[in-house]
Amino acid sequence: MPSMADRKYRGRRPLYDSVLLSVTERCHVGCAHCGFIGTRREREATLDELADWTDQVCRYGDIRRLIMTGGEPFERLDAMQLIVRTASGRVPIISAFTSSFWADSADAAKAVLSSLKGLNQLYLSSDSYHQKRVPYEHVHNAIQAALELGLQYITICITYANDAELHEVKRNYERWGERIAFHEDRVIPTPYLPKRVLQKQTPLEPHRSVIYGTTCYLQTPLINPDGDLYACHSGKAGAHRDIRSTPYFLGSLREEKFIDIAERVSRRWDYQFMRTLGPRGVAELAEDNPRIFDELGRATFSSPCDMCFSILKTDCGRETLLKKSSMPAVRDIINIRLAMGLGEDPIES
Amino acid sequence: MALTFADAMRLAAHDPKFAVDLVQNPEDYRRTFGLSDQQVQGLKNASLNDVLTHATGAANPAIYAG
Repeated sequence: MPSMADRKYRGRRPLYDSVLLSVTERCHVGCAHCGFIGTRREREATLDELADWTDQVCRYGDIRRLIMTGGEPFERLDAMQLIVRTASGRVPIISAFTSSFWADSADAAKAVLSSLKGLNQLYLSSDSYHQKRVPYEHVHNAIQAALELGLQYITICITYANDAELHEVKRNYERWGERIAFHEDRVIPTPYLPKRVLQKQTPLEPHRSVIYGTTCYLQTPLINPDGDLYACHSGKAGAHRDIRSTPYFLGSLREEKFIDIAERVSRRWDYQFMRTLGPRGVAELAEDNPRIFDELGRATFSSPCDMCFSILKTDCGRETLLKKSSMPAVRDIINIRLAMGLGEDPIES
Repeated sequence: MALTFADAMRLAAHDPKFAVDLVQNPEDYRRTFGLSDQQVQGLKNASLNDVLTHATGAANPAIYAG
């Protein structure tokens, strides 16, 4: 049973477990299931900006993990080295997502990871899509080098279409036993994906709010390479089109400091609805207003993230969110969870 | 000036022990903070497990497979 004994008072500063920093949207691997298919991948941050944003994240307080993501962060190894140097010793865990394309030999893997002293976690994307482009051997080299260099946490991230695919991928990592962990997610269907990817999918889940939890990745905001700060990784969809009108958008680090954005949005009811009621709260919006499904054109989803973003990208979903988060009883629940669960000041109506 | 629901929430944000007691025994605080029936019910319905999950970040593995 978890304890609240160590929970700190946070005032108007939202509790963030981790922060995702998108180092670049570039990636030459070209997987068939990639969420960036159909985008120009042209947004980039300067090295000065990345160092500044990293410093701001480190100063925010109580963030346990800084996660470099992309695109493929190892396309900008110089930027990663700068970020790791800036964050080292200031956040407990510094992580990176990667396809392992750079680990084409044991020596190469060790040389690259040795240049990132302070990095202590790898999220290695490995699935049937990545492995059509990057041999398993590269991922194995990355794991072995990470273990030899003492990286504490190695997680294999598998995106799968069906159970057979999932089991086949996991089989390739049996030799490491409990020294590595797995994270599994289904492919999020988007209109940009090739038919051959979508056809292999296990049928999507019919919509029922009870299957969703109240917490998710909303304690892990995302910084895009253009400085836009989003509530969670769903902000990566900003590579496709402007999604600043969605409740996921928090502000721009090119215009405001990280801490100022966080304290400002902590007074936003729609944002705190998402943070405190999570995927289940968003799922209930569609049960309150089934017209959301009409606008969306479907009522089945592959994951909580697929469901949440699909609902809140619709005009109807956003209107329903604003309406529901203006109801006094709902506001009371949001404040109860903010104050008791997170140690954050309630929002005054 | 009379205390309100917002005062109870501010106190709960500062003091985890009070927060737990408030969730478990909201009726005891009805008069002190002028809680409405709806607010007492909201506190009763607030599952301590859910609230604690938020407190510890237990449900957040912080990953995105992208």
